[in-house]
Amino acid sequence: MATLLKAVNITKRFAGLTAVDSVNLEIKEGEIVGLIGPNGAGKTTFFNSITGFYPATFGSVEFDGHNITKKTTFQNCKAGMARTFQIVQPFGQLTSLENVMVGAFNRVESYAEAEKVAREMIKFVGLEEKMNAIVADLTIGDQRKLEMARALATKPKLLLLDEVMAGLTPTEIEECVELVLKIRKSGVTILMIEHIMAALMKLSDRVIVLDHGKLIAEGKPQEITQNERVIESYLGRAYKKEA
Amino acid sequence: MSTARIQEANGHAAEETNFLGSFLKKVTISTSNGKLTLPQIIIIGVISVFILLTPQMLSNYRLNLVISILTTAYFAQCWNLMSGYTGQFSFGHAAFYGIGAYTSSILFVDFGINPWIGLICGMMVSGIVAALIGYLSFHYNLKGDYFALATMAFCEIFRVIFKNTKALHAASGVSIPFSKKFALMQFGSKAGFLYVAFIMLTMITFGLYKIRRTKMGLYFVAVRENEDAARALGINAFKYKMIALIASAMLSAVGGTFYAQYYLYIDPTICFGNTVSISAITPCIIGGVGTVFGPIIGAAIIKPISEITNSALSNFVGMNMVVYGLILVIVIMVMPKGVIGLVQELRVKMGKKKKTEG
Repeated sequence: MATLLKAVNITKRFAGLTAVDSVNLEIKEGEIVGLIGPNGAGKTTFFNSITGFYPATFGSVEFDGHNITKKTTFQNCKAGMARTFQIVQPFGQLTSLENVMVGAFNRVESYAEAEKVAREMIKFVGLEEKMNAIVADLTIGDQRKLEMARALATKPKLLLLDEVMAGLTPTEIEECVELVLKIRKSGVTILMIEHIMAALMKLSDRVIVLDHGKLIAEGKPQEITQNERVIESYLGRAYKKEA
Repeated sequence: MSTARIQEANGHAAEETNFLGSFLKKVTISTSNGKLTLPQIIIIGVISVFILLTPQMLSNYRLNLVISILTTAYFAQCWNLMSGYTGQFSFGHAAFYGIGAYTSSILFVDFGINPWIGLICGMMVSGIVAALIGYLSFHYNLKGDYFALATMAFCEIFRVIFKNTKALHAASGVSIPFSKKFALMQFGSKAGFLYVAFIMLTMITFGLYKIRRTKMGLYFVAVRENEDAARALGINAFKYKMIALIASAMLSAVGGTFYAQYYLYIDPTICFGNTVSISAITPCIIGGVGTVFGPIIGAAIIKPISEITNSALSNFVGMNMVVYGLILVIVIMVMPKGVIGLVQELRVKMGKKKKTEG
């Protein structure tokens, strides 16, 4: 399978703090890659560096065969990279439909067509009953689903999910897992930050672990849970006994 | 992270340390993309006919008030496009208004250029100035309070420049010779000006109504609601903020030229004063920021009030401003989302009552 994303030596410094330290990552088309690590490990910063929210201090990013290191977020979105946010970022005063339409306009020009795409996407994530609700009034779970629909409406090749399952109930998490699988089936490659290990084990083909900005492990989910360093810095001893 | 904590974090992020930015968030209501209902169309039609008939019914003094309501509403709609729709709080819209007024007037008085051409020139100059201000502000990511202060500062710079430059008539201002010719953009009687003002207001309102159901309109609103999210969804926020600002500035310039042609006299304070910028903002806040008809409703409320306080309290210098300010404070406290916001709220409450009763 072809490489979709290739990040080389990504380093991000904020004044004296090195949030991400020479991280290399390659993602192949059709993969689901999980990104884990303790709080403050630099996961979201790594996301932001790849997507162009704040460009990396060093390193280069190649996406779909093009060098996108210096590209901005909206250009990357046009190129096929969509993301969700750790803290949901809805267009609060707009309806669900309009929220998703904003995403749909990434690929289409006419209002009617955008509306059609948006309706499809809302159905895809299972929110058709809340089509015309004002988004600020939705529950967190629904807002997260909506954010995924919105990102998918941009017709991405790569979808970056930043803790989409945080704060969800167990039922909602299960729905979310199904949804992610459905998204992969539709041909979208996924890189996801997640703390819910059970979900991540089920979903990801490969897991990478960040700690203090450094990549400390990479491999199949089962291998990762046995990795001494990962247990030490993130999962904790208790996890080993359980597993 | 628990749901409550995430919501808390969200609320916190929205508050920021940004007074005007968060104020704008508080007063802005969702710009409906709905189509007009039949009763609404009938109400608009009746009001329009009434306005067009006022020259036959009202005295010249009253007619003046109607014209000033229409022009204020027009100017407020210009502000609404960039601050209400696109969410960039401008505190210096007088800059664009003044440039429009000055360009056409000076071209006419000093160079004998027809005001109609002056109008176009004014729009161009205003657009260029807006592009400059916009580039400097948005390129360096000025937002909320800081953007508002920047626009205010630019406006003040213009006031000082125009007040102190001899070639621009300095503090004495520009007087435009009276004629009655349409060719010189003077529409004969007050009625003529009223019709023109009405057409201007209708056009800009129709434009705002239509644009809401286009890609550009939705992008404007998306940038207002959440710029980071908008960027992540492929929106070039810089570009759309620039478009809104430049369009708003060019339209404001038309308002300025109209003012100059109507009153036939302008000076730096009339054009670039803070009160002018504020006169664009208050109708929006009272009617409903970001709505299609809010600014018109606001202008129709605020103009008569200021007229009444002016004449009733003419013996006490400055008292009219005190009363006007008090009324404004009360209005914002009672209905922070303007008249339209209040109506929407009442409707929701009535709907709920009906549901519980039925």
